[in-house]
Amino acid sequence: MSLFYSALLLFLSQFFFGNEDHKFYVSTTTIEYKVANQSLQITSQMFIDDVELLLQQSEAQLRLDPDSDIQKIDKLLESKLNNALRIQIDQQWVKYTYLGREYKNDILQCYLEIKIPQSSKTLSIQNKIFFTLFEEQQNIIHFKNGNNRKSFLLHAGEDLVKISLN
Amino acid sequence: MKIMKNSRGAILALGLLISLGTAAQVQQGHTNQNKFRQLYDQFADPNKYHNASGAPGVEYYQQKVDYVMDIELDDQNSKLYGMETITYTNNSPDQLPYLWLQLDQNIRKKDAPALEKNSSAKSVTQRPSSFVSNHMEENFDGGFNIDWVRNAQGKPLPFKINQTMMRIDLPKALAPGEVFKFNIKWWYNINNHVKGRGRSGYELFEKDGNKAYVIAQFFPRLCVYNDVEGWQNYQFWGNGEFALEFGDYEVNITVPSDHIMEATGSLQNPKEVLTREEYNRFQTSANSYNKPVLIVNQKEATAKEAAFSKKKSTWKYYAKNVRDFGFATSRKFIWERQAVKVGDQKVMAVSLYPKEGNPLWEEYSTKAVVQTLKTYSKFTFDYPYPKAVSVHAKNQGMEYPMICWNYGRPEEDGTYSNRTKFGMISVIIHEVGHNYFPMIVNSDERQWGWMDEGLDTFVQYLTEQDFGISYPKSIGALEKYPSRRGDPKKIVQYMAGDQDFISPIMSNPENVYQLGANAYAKPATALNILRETVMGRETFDHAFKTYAQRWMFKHPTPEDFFRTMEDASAIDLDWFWRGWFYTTDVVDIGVKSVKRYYFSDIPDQTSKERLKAFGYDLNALPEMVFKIDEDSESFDPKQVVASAIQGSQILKDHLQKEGYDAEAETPKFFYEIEFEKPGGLVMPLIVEYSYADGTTERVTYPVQLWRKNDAKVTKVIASNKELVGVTIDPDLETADVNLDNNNWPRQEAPSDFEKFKEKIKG
Repeated sequence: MSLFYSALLLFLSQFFFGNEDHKFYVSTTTIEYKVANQSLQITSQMFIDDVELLLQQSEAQLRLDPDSDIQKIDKLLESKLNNALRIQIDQQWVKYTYLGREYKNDILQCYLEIKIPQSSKTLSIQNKIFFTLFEEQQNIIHFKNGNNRKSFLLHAGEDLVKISLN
Repeated sequence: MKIMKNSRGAILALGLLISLGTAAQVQQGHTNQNKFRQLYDQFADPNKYHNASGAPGVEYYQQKVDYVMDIELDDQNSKLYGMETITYTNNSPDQLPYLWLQLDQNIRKKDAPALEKNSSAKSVTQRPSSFVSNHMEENFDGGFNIDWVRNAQGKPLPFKINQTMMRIDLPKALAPGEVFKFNIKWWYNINNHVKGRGRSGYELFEKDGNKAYVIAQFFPRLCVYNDVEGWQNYQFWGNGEFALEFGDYEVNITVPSDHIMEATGSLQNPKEVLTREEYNRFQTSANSYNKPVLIVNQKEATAKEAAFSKKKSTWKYYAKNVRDFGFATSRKFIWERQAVKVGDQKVMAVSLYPKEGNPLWEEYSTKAVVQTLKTYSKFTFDYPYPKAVSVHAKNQGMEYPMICWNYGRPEEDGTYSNRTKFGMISVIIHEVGHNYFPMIVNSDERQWGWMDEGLDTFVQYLTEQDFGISYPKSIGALEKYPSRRGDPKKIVQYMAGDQDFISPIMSNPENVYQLGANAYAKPATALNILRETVMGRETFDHAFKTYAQRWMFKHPTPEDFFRTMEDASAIDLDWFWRGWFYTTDVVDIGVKSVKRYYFSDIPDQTSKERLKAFGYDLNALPEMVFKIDEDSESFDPKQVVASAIQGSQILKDHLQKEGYDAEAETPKFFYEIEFEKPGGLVMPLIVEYSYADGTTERVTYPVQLWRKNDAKVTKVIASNKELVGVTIDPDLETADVNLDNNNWPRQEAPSDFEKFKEKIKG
C-alpha cells in the first residue's frame, strides 16, 4: 500500500514535467578538486523558488531576489547548507567556508570552499538539500579532478557518494 | 593583411610524403560510420504521403472529425456531464472496421496502471502531509463514466475500453470516403488540479469558497489515423501529450449564470450570457487596438464572489478547423480583450484571471499575448484563428487551441519577484505560442514531445527578446529579456551531464529522464545554433517558415521537418540532425598546438628519414622544398624572424620565375595549427586569431572540415604579423562543454567559482 501511494506521488509529479516547462526538482553541485591549491571549490546551483521555500520553513517572512534581509538570508542559508551538503575527507567530516552567492535568472548559485591536504585519499559527498521539501528531489553532483570528470545523481534513497582521489 | 589561405602550392613535398601511408596489413572492415553520411538508416522512406523534400505527398490525407457537444458543469459537486455527437469522415484509402477514441481522464481512475509506471523512492524523509496522502487518504477517482455509445439512429454500439483508449466496433467497416455519425454520453468527477497537479481541473479558493475551472481532455476524442502509425493509440501515461484530428466544433456549455467563461472558438450568443454593460464593453473591445478593454473588472468580479447563483446560462461556441477544445469558467474571473492586427486579419488578444493574479496580470498578460501573435506570425504564418486567450491557473502552463492556462501569482500583498514576473510572461508566450506548434502545425505529441515543445521554445526565445524591446520598462535595468532557454551556453550543463541520465532528443517523452531539458531546452538551443551559427538567419528563417506553412493544419513527422530545412536551404544538415537529435554527443573542440615553420632546400632529419623509409632518393625526385617546424632539430629561430622563405633558394627562384617579388610578397610567418575534437559532435570551427599588433581576425571553417578526420584537423596560417593567440568559439555560440582547451596559449577558462572569488576579493 505504501509502495502504491509513493508511486502515485511520483507519478503526479510527472504531470508537472509533461505539460509545463518550468519545474523539475533538481539541484546541481559542481565540486572541483584543485590539488595544487589544496582546495575543493564547490558551486551549488539551486532554483531560487526552492531555496526560498526552504528558508521560509524557518523564517516565513523571508523573500529572495530581491532579498528581504541579506544578512539573515546568508546566515540561514549557510546553516541549511551545513545540514544538507556534507563532505568527508578520509572519513572525517569537514567544515567549509561559505564564500557567498549570486543570482542567475531563476537559479541561486552558492560558493563554498574547503581546504584539502594533498595527501587526501577519499572524498564522500552527501547532499540532502530539499529532501524534506520534495520527495522527488534529485541532486546532481559533478566532480572534476584535472581532466577526470564524474557525475552522480543523489536522491532520497541514496544521498551519499564516495570518490577516490587517486 | 595578407593571408594565403591555401598554401598547398608552397609545401610541395609534404603532401606526397604523408600520402604514402604505412605498409599494408590485413585490417578489419567496417560500415560507413562517417558523421556526414546521410540519415537513410534513421529516416522513414519518403512516399506518396510524405515526400522526399519534406512536404505533404501527392496522396497525403487526413481524417476529419466534427463534434457537436452539450456540456454541463455541476459547480457544487465538481462534476462534468456531456453528450457529444461525433461525425467521422474517413479520408484514408483504408477500410476501418473500428474507431479508437482517447479517454484521457481515465489516467485519473483510482486503479490506473499509469499510477504504477515509476519505481517508488526509498525515501528516508517524509513530510507529514505526504504521510496523510500516502497512507490515510482514499485515492481520488476521476476517470470517465461512459453512459452509452449510440449510432445516429439511437441504437447502442458495442465498445471496449482498454485503459485510456476506447474501441468502437462499427456495424460494417467504414469505406474510404464514407462518413460515420455516432453519440456518446458521459460524466466524470473533476479533480483539483492544484492538489493533484493536473492539466485540467479546478483550483479551490478557500477564502471565498469559489472554484476556477480550467477544463480540457474532458470528452472522448478520436485518435489520429494516418499512414505513419495506423491508429495512434499509444496509451496516455501522463508525459506524452496528444495526437488529434482537425475538425469543426459546436459546443454549448451550461454553468452557473454568474460565471464568466472563455473557450476555444467564437462565442455565438454574447447577448444571452452577458449583462447589457458587459455586452457593450465586449463590442467596444473588438475595435480597441491600443489597449485592452475590461469586460468584467476586478470590483465587479469580487462583488460576485459571495453570490453562488443557482441560475444557469449556456455559453455557445463555434470553432472551425481546430484539433481540440478547452474552456475556463468561474465567477471570480476578470476579463479583458484587445484587438491585434495580424496580416489582414483581426485577432482578439484576451486575458482571464481571478483577482489573485493582480496586479501582475492586468499589467502583463495581454501584452504577452499580443507580442506572441506578432513575433510567431512573423516566423511562421499569420495567425489564422479569431482569438488567443491567456487564463491564469495556479502552478501550471498548458495549451489548447486559442486558449491556454498560465502560472504567475503575486504574493497575497500584491508584491512579486522578478522571477515570478518573467516566469509569467515567458509561460504565456510559450503556451500562446503552442497555437502554432502543435495546434496548427499538428505534430504527434504522444510520440515526439520535441516537435512542438522544442520548436515552440525556440520561437518563444525569439519572442521574449522582442518583448524586451517592445516593453523596455518590463526588463528594467537588464540589457535584454532574461530568457531561460535558447542561449547555447545554458544547455552546456545538461549536455555535459552523466550519460546514464541523458536520452537523445529523438525519444518518446515517456522514456526520457529530464523532459524539460530533453524536449524543450536542447532542441530549442539546437535550432538557435542552426539559425545563428550554421545556416545564418535569412536562410534559416526561410526554411523554418517553409516548414510551418507546408504543414499548417496537417500532421508532420520529424523527417518532414528535417527534410524541409534542407530542401528549402540547399544546406545538407544530416550531420546536424544525426548528432544533435539522434545522439547524446557533445561539442568539445580545442586547439591542440600551434607550430611556426619556414621553408628550406635542405631536408631536416624527419624528412630525410621519411624519404628513406619509402625508398625515395632525393636526387631522383623533382625539385622540392622542405618544411622546418619548431619541433625540428634544424629549426633556427632567426630564420623565422627574417623571412619564411629566406632559407630556400629553390622557392625564391620559383616565385621570381612566376613573376612575384619574392621578398616583398611572401608572408613572413607561417603557422601550422592543430585542432582537436574530443567531443562527438561535428560543428563549424570558429576561430579568432590574435596578432602581435593587437589586431584580431575571425575565421569560420565549414563543418565539412571534419569529414575525413573526426578527431583532429590542421590549418595553415600565413601572415605578415606574428600570431600571439588562438581562441575557439570566442562568443560561446556552439555549446562547447569544455572551454579549457579553447585557447592557445593554453589557459583554463575561469570557472564561476573563480570569477566569484576574484570578485569578492575586490
